[in-house]
Amino acid sequence: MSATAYAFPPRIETGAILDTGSSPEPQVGGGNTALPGLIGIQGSAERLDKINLGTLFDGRFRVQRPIPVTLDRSGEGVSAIWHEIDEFGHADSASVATVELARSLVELYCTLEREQMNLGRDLERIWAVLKQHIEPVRR
Amino acid sequence: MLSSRDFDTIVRKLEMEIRDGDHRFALLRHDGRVVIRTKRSHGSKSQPAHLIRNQLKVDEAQLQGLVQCWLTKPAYIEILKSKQII
Repeated sequence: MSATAYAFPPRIETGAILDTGSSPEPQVGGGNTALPGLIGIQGSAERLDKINLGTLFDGRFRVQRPIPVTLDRSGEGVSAIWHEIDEFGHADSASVATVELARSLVELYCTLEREQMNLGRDLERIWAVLKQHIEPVRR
Repeated sequence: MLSSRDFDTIVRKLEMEIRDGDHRFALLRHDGRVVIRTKRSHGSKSQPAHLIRNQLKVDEAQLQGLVQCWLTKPAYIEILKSKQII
């Protein structure tokens, strides 16, 4: 049976926030692998199949729509995958893989924004999806 | 898994543009448009081959062909055209 976690920054508003149940503290994985800013967690990320990512751990960007992330442990290590745009992070643990994914998304966003007038059709689609989920924080 | 060395072999073969940040991003430009992107972590860490494959829009055999010698850049471009990526 799959489990789900929701990670979100303070500004995000969603009706899909998970009941934290019996977990009084945010938990992702064990030891020192906890994700900063990840709250509303049920169970251990090392056992989760899916999470909804609500932060990129980067103050320059806000997640306006939760990012559906699949955690794949079928090979060596763990991959955190956003299937819709074929982006991923890979590491030894789910929490680090998720942070890797978030960093990749920031880099991808910046790259596609820079090239937005020169994108092929698949990357145009990916750019459109990214913009639906992520927005830069205007200061 | 795909080694960093094999990843870099593919990037060189396809003459992709490299942008180094938290990761090594590689972009394939065709007729002035960026049509493919992929990336790897820095260092020697291997990457999941099937996820790189998805980003490159190739199957397992074609990925091996890119790493080895028999799948050329023109042949790869034809694959992308057949999949209407280009």
